[in-house]
Amino acid sequence: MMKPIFTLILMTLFTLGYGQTVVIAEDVDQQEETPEFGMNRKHYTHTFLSVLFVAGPPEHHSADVIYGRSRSLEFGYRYKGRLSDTFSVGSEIMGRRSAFHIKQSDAKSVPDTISRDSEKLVFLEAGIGAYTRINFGQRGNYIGRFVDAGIYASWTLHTRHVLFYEEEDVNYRVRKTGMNYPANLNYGLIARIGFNNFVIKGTYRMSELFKESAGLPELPRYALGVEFGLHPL
Amino acid sequence: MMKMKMKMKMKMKMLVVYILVLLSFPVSSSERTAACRHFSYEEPGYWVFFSDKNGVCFDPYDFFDSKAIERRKKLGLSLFDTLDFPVSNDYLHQLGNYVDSVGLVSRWFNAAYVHAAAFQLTEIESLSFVDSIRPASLRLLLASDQEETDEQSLLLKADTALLNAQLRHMSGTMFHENNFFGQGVRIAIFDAGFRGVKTHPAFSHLINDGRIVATHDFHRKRENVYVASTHGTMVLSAIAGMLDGQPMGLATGAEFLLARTEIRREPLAEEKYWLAAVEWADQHGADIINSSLGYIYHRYYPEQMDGQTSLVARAAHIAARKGILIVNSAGNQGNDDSWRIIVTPADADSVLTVGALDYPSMLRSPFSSVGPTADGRMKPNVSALGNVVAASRRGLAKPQGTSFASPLVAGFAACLWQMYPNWSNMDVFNAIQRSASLYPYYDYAHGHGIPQASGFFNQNAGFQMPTFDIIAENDSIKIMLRERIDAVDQTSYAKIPGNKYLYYHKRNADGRIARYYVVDLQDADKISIARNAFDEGQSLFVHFNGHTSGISVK
Repeated sequence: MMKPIFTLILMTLFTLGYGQTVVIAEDVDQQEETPEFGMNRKHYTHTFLSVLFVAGPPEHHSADVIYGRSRSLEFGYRYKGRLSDTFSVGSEIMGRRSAFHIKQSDAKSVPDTISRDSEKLVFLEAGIGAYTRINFGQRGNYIGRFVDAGIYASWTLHTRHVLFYEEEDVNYRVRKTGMNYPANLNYGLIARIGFNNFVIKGTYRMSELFKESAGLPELPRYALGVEFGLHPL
Repeated sequence: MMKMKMKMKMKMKMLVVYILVLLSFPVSSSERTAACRHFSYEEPGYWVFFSDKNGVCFDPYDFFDSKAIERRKKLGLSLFDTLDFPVSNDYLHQLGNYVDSVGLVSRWFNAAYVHAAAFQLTEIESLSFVDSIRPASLRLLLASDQEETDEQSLLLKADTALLNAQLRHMSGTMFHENNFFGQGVRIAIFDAGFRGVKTHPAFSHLINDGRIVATHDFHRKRENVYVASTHGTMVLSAIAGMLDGQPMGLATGAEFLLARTEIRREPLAEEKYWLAAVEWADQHGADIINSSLGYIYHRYYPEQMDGQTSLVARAAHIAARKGILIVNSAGNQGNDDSWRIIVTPADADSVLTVGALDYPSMLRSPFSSVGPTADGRMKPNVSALGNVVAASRRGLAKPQGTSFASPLVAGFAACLWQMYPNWSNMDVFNAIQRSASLYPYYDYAHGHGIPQASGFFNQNAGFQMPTFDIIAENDSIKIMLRERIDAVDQTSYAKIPGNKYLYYHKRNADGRIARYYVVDLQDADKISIARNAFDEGQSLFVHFNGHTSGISVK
């Protein structure tokens, strides 16, 4: 409502040869208009950080992953547009790093049938999303409790296949890039239950992670985790 | 091919699920509630307002404490105000059929607090005796921050100076010199907990004399309030604590009602306890309520800080009409760009809102919330020190916040009321404002300044020789001091803190301050303000060393 305007003071207050100090100078904002930007205003934007753990079964047991270690990290920027105290819609852009730790077994077939000490497939993606939000409870300028349902699409920028194995008492870590089997485009559904800054988030990947021509079974499609909205409490 | 078809099928299935999920949120929410009725406290809280109080019985002599009756009689208020009538038991019983339990009940608002899901609200709304329903969750902030010192440590010299200042900056010792310690005045304190009050020697005079006349924990629904937090302990200390015979607040002779209305520091809390506590305080004969609490953005917007919107502000109005003086801290959002305005219920015009001053500068503490209210009224009303030495759980603390400015003024009010027992609450309110160091000048950081007890003992206090002249020149307005600060009698000069500053503001034609300033004049004897720094229709108001004057700048 009010802002210090020390610079203005220098323009309006002249000292006449004696020492004096302006210790408080406040400009009272006379503007009557309601601000449009804020957590429960017409528009709001904030960043967010998510950690999602791969969940659900793979398409085939030959595409098993190690649960817990297989996870995605997301960092994004979200827009929320308020339609009413209950409904909002929004969009987001995000970067995502997903790592699928492949379970080693004789039946393994992703991305190949060779069994090693461990291996993982890493995907770096840039994506966009859109969502609808239902808020619970009347509130002031505060995010509050909500449920989101939305969709996302992401473009795979980079993939790598990292292998760990031991041969003749030597440990090897091999990093392969430029594979031709990952699909470029991914898309899916997002659901979120939010408690102000803290959000429980789940995603379901509707697209195939691998190109059809590769003939690889699909890795688990679900991911479940938490998100932290990086906005004031 | 088969695999492709299966995948397509799966996608379609998921799409249908997605659409169903989108469409079913409100329904699923209700179903979840129905399935988990025993967890209904997780549902949002609502106030259900009833349309009437038909068929209720009320005996004021049975319900009220004798002091509450006495206050009503003194102010000529009816003992049979329908606001005080109980809520209809029949309505409560019927309401209970639609929710798991009915929580707090407000006589003044003729309302009951319930937790309910959307489908339950729809049913309740259709009841013939229900007038309206209003959501009720708020974010509460205790208006303080604290720095505790060790139990065994002695007061440092600086702390002793602060302890002296917290009484003397309002010339409060004059009350004590004239034997006014707030005797016979009952003060209710709403806070988060009073841990250590029963055992700390700073409160032994209150305990031994039985001057804590009632206590209630509105959260846990029991009498023991000596738990959880020392915030209330320190607030009580700033009103009535005694340290080795030295008062820490002005009203060491007052009686107290202690209400624990909040659960912990800065929780997501609700206004329901505050509402219940204000009615409880009225019933138990409170003359003054000190509330070092404020409610902000979890329920309201800054533009709703108009003294009319929040339930707590409206309850404060009712309490004032019933003769209770409510003293509330302005809030500690002075540095919060998203909420610099005062909190509620400090926004109510019948609440004496207290801002915090920094020690030793005696200017607004940076954290102290500023006015005006959303509808342009002056707040805070007055200011007092926001740093104090206070008794805490076992030892001493040096907390800071508007939380501690408010009890200093509440203690002042108690002494003043003892001095003028026939005054109404608003007489006391107005007298405190008029006594303040800047009055009739004000700004939105300090209000009218620091209340001064000296004005009530000095017969010549109303008369003040001009201390400056305002001279309008062609291109500037000059403020000329009649005496340079270094020439002023330093003994009398130092009596009113903040006197070394020159305060001025530019006021719009509608009466609102557009800009305000405080200038430390040091060795200057005049300042000049360019005429073109004023907008059309603005006036200049100046205060220096007890004198206020203004000029319309054409």
